[in-house]
Amino acid sequence: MPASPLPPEWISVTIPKRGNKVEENEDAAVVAPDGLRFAIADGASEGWESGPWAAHLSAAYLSSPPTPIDFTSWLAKVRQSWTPASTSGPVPWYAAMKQEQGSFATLAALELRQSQRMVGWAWRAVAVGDSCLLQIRGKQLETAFPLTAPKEFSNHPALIPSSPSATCPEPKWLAGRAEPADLFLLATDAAAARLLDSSALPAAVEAILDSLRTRDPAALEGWCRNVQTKANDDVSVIAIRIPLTKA
Amino acid sequence: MNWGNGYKRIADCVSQDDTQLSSCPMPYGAQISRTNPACLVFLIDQSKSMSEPYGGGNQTKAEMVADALNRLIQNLVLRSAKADGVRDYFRIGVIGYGAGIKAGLGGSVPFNILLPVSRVGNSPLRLETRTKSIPDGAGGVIEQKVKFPVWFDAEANGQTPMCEAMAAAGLAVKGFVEEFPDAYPPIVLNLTDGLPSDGNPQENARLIRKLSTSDGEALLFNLLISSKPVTAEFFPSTEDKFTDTCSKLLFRMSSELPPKLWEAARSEGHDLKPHARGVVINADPTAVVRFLDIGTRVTPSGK
Repeated sequence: MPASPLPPEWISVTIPKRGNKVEENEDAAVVAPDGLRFAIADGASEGWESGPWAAHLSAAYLSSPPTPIDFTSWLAKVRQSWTPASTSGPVPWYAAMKQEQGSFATLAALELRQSQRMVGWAWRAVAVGDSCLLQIRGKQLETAFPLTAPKEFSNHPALIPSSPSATCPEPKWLAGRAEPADLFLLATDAAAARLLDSSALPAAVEAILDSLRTRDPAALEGWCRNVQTKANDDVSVIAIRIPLTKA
Repeated sequence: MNWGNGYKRIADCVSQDDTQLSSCPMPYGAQISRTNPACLVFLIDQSKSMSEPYGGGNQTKAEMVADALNRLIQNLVLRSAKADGVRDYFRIGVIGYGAGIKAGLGGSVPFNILLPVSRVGNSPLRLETRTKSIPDGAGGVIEQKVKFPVWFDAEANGQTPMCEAMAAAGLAVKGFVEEFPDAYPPIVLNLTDGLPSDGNPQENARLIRKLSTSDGEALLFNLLISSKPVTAEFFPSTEDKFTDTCSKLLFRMSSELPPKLWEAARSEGHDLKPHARGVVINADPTAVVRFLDIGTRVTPSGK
């Protein structure tokens, strides 16, 4: 019987906009207890309770990742279980309207699985909007998904709405294989745009590898804060490294 | 391994692109936040001629403009509203000019017309219930009751003291840039149906456009409302087409659209040339709404 592979190593950082409180961070970055599912979501700044909706969406992915076949029913269940915080007493007109419009967030999520027929790891990903997944081999970008260049980012990304009556944009799906030492990065838009800048990628990889090696997020957090000097946004990154050897 | 149907294969995907991110801050690129809000000033013609119906319909030009402005203010409040209240991403001012010059959202002209969006959001004049037609999903329409907050009522009386209104807007903008020297440059939108009655406002317009923050000069955009159902002319880059004095005057007073607003107008389907100016001539009700939307297309950073 083949030995079980070492689990992937991962490290995660999420920081609010400069000047904002931690509780005002509308990004979510979560990892399943088994370290094989990862999700990142970015609540729309102009939405209502977007941060909690982003957290709800990403948590739902961890507990039950959707597939292209069942995404519609998966989202229906996620929406059904969504209970935004309610306020007591009279609600101002704008709060009532915003509640009716609902919440919005992007999502990018990754699942890793040990190949059953071949040595190594397989992965699959889903994304809606401009939160991205990058696969890095050596120090080179191997795959970028769903966006591939900084110029593709805009102020109007596709978003998953919480309202059952709202149409959800078609998710994008991608699957592939991973080699030992491959690095996967899930990142919300500001960080993803920087990671897709080829001149900025080496510094990012260096900071990420440093954080993975030391198991201290300080280097990655420093890189995220540097991203905010150019775009003051909530910034989140989950970095995952495929192990080199079998146990 | 096979994950099942629906997933693209890696080989089908594009990988790296070496497009560079700009490292230099661009003008008209300041992030809009609670510490650096955006300033929007609306100058609304309330002269007697605004009581004329637009295109022979039931609604007067004054009512049409008031509806569009109220809808825009509602939108600004909603964009700023969070679970913990309305965040002050905007300072909003309205100056009505007709029988007199008045602060359309309360306060006094000229030094007290700009209100934080939280105060605006919490103090509409009234909350009306209106009927809206929406598609029923089967090819027909159904009527739905919706709440419609009103801050600004239609009014049409007196002449067109545009110079005085521009001078008042200039003072409000000056106060804003002194308080927020690094903010996104103030935007002044003037909506009128005719020539000024108190002189040539070009100098007042120039003085507004010369006021600046570290992010650029203040922007002045103009819209001429037509009495007739004619095709609107959006964001021209020359005045060659215009034969009347009023259109030429408004064109000359208007700022060029900065890159993001230029892109916003183009993405709305307008065929823009370089150096397009923020001016719309022969505006119908739809054009008024689009002018207000594009002219105020500034997005809070969420901070």
